[in-house]
Amino acid sequence: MPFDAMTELSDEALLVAFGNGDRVAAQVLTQRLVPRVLRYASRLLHNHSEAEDVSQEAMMRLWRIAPDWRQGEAKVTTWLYRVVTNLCTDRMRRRRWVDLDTIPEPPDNVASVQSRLEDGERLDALNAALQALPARQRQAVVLRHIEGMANPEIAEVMDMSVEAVESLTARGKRALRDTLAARREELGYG
Amino acid sequence: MAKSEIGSGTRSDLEDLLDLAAGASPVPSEALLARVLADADAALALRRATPAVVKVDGSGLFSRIAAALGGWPALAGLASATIVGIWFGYTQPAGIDGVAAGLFSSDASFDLGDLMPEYDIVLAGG
Repeated sequence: MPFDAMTELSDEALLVAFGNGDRVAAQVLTQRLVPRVLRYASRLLHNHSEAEDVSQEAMMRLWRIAPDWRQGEAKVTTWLYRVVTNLCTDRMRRRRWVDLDTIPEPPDNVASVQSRLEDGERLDALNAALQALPARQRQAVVLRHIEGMANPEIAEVMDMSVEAVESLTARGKRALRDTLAARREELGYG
Repeated sequence: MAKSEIGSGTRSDLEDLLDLAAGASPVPSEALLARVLADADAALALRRATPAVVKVDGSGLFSRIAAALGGWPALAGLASATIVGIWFGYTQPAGIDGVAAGLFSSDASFDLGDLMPEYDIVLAGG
């Protein structure tokens, strides 16, 4: 099947096609899923190089499971986000003691404090605040508010109840507000 | 943007920031996309090189017979009884030999009258 026709297919149909040996399906899935996986891993790890490694590893696992994929049991993206979550958790555990040094410090330049930040700098501040959250809160907030997932799907990704997800996202957002409140002048809200 | 909303507990500024993050996707490098596709090719090549494994799903003739007889526990009982029967036939234990001699010996003879009730009992019964 040509590439353009494949783009109309669902993730699951493409995965089954790849499981049956269709390389074009892999191309479409790569273009469709890698940006999402990379974004999610980047938010969790705050390290582009590591996020790329995790994305590659997660996609590798997707290719391997394709021939045995059970249709209708789970969404491909849900399965993939779960793999990425686990891979990122492993990496965060390994680097727990060195991670503190990688969190960017707030800029202490007086001029920049007094000026409104550009979007990129605001995103850096958000990322730094996200990194300060406990891992599970960070995962829940990113999945809910950046990846735009519904709570039941997040519950499936994180292997917990919907109520636990709601609690995690609420606490995570509260902590984010508290962290960012301390920097509101730098962020241009003061 | 309104002043001090993040710190004041209003949700809007934080959510604006999160929306900003949602719209700001890191672009995957060409090198990453190439590595992912190379992995897909390797997975395809490996699958083609590996012979398909025939899965036994338990729907064969023997499995169906076993299920009809009551499953593996019933088959185990049946097998035990068969083995004991063969063993008895082969060794002929003394007790069984005596019973068989009583029943099937050429010395034992019965007449039709031996199997009939006594005539006076019939008469007594009226």
